[in-house]
Formats: sequence, structure tokens, C-alpha cells
Amino acid sequence: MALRTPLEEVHRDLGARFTEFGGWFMPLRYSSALRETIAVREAVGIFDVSHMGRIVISGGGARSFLNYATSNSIPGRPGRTRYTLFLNNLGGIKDDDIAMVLEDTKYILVVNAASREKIISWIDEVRESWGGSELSVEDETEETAMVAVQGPKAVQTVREILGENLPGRKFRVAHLEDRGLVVSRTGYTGEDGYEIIFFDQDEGATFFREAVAMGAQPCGLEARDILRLEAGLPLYGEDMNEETDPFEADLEFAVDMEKEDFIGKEALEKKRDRGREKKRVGLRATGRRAPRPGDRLLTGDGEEVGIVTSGAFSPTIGLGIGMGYVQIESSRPGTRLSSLGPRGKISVEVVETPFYDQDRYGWKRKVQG
Amino acid sequence: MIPDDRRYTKTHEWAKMEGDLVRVGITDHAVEELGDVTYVEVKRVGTRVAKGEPMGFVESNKAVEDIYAPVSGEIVEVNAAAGVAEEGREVESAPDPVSEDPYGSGWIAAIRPDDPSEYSGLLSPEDYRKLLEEEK
Repeated sequence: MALRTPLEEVHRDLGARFTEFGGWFMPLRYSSALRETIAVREAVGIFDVSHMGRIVISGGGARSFLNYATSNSIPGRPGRTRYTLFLNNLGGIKDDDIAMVLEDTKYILVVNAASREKIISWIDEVRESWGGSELSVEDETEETAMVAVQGPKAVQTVREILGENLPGRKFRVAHLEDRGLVVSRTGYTGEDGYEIIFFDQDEGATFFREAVAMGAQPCGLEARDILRLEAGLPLYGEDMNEETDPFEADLEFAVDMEKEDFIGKEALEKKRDRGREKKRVGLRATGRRAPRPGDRLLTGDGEEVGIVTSGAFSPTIGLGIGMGYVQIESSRPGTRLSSLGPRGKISVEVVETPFYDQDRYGWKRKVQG
Repeated sequence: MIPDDRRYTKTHEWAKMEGDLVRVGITDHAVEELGDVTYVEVKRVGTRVAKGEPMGFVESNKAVEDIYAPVSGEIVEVNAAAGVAEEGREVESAPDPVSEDPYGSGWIAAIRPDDPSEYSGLLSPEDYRKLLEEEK
């Protein structure tokens, strides 16, 4: 049985169509996913992301444990967030997560829905070899709600509802303990905005309704997937898995090889010395058809050099886009390939991501939406 | 919405007899299942298609689904004005009419049937309505 979001009634009232994702019954779309996507790029959209796992890691050993159990350097200063990876002993990616520092000794880890149980048992396993003590792990996912507000008008919208004490800078987090909120300036769309954890689930539902009443477009998982693809952000389980290492997934920035020790480090050192054979790249089609997961990537000579892992039509650029893994020799931007699926070939080009013009879209934009 | 002036398939195409041609599209229900239709392609004008065999496909954000020919015959028209592409010839315009007006301006192609009596073997609007209720 799929888990139900505490906001289900809100979504029903808004006419959502549902889907099962990561073991949860979640909104797929409310009307048109393309329009929902454009609303986020041009104004503001709101998403129920209560399916994401929320694990509180606390105690004197919390930071040391996270530094040992995950790949990136975990900050100690409250108010910081960090994208980090759980790796297996072979250096393969077990999950990609955000660690948020709430207090010196209290962190919240946001993990992928489908990985939650796996990561909780992995944490138990890693604890044994860690050797430290003073660690408490609590899965708060089913007792809380989580909402993302994204887009050029997102910050303004959230401030109007929640007031002023919110993180002023990208990637910061505020723990508003008296109000039962954790508000982080993070997201999975490429746009500015907030992700908000509500310790009182009803408040999450009220907030969602208020934001919609103020003009935020309710957005489902379909728009969320298009948005993250347009931004070039990989999806765990689709664009990476336990067989993928962070170098080939193009996630080196989430690995701190200078750290004394962490799970998977030894394997990664060997991989680094050997060099990578393939790499995750962005693929932009020449037309509206999108490359699709499982499509084979071929050179002009018909040589197979890679595989597509995700794809969709991008309403922002009006072309099919995707992601995949290609051999290093074919990974240079500008490389032309064809993507071969069950319904024939389409032409694609290896491109840098985000796919959109960063002067016009995304949190680094110059022009205000 | 299931118009009474045409017939249907179990795979959610509609077919409408117009003179000696059968006009073909996808149903409202198909559009709802797919979400935004982002690309539609059918075999080229002049191609022979067999009843129940793929005559093209529809792409949406996350899915690609075949369009099955409701009758055997020859493709004689492709609705380029609605953004429907002929095989191997991509079009620039969005196939928005296919999602927005699937029974009208969003028709996909027209077939000259080999045997017009095949048409009467398709699902009646009433049968199709029942099918959708069973699928719920």
C-alpha cells in the first residue's frame, strides 16, 4: 500500500491527478504539466514534497558521523545546508541528499523517497564501523509535511505568508523552532525559492492553500521532473544508482577527497587514478521529440557510445531534452549523436546544463521574472 | 466526452466515416492519460496500414504510445495543421490541437479503407463508454 501525503485533501480539492512514486501516492499534475513548468520559470509554483524522507540525526557525534557516512564535507555551523552522497564500499551512489544544520548537534537529512528505508538501515550498518557514539537517528517523514515553493516570485510569496525570519541567502536554512518550521533556501527546479518542513502537518496543508490563493501554481511530480531535467539535475534511481560513481555522474563537487575517511573513499581513490570511462551529460534534441530512457546513443558512424537515462520535452526551450552517459571521447559539448529507440532515431547534441539561458531563467538570472 | 457521430477502439483511438475516408484521432480519455501531447508522428501519406497495427505514435512528457490503425487501408491525409508530423519529417509547430481539441481540429490522419465494412465492427460510443467504466 502506498503511503498517503498529509496534503491529499488539498490536492483533491485542486483537482489533482495522482500517481505512485517512491512508495507514495502523490499529485502527478493538476492541469497541464507544461503550464505548471512555465509558471515556475516565470512566476511561482508550489509542490507537495512530503514524500521526501526527513531523517533527524542528532547528538554530539552527528557531524562526525555524517562526515564519515557521506561524501561531502558536512558544515558545523547552524544555518548551512550541503548536498552530499551516501556511497557504498565500492564507491557507488546509494543516495543523494541534503544535510541541513539545525543546531551544533542536530541535522536533518532530506533523502529520496524510494531510498528512505535503505538509507536508514545503511545508517545502522555504517554506525558499527564508525566507532563513535552519541548519535540518535529519527525518521520524522511520516509525522511531518514538506512543501517546496519555487520560481522568481517564490521568495516574495513565502515571505508574505511566513514573515521575515527566513534565510536571506541561497542554500541557507532557518530552524524556526517555536513555530515548528524548518525553512531552507533550496530546491530541485533550478529556480530560487524555499523548501519548508512543517512539524505540524495541518499547517503544511494550510500553507499550501494560502500560497495557491495568492497565485502560486500548484505543481505535480510531472512538472517537477521536467524542471529538474531542464536544470540538469540528476534523479536518483533514474540517472544514477549503486553502480554509478560520483565522478561519472558528474557530481565531484559533492565529494571531498581531502576528508580523512569516509565510506567509499578508498574505492574512489582507485577510480580517480584510473580516470573515468564515461560521464553523465546533457542531451538536447534538434526537434520536439525527446530522447528516452534506454535509448542507445550512436555516433555518425553508428558506433554505440552511450545510453539515455532520462528525457522529456522542455517547454522552456521548446525542444526535447535528456540526460545520459557517454564515453569520455563523446562527452564534449557540441558532439552530435543520435538517440536510437524503439521508434527510430532522433538527432541530439551533447550540451552543458542547465538547458535554459541562465541570464533569463534560474536562480542566477539577471532579468527578474 | 464521447461524441456519438463516430466509432472507437479499445486502444483509445476514434474513427469517423466521412464519405469514402475514415478520419482518425485519439480520444479525450487518451489525452487525459497522456497529459500534454508534445509530439505526434504518423506514417507518410501513401503508406498502407493494417487494422490493429501501429500507424504512428504520440509522445507526452513521460510516455510514448503507439496509435493503432482502426481500419486497414492507405493513409491519405496527415493533419500537418495540427502539428502532426509525417514519419521522418519533424514539424516545428506544437501538436496542441491534439490535446486541446482531440475530436475536432486535433484529428491525426485520414485513411482510405480497403473494406468500409470494417468500420461498423468498431466499438460504438456506448461500448466505448462501458469500456472506460470497466477500466476505472
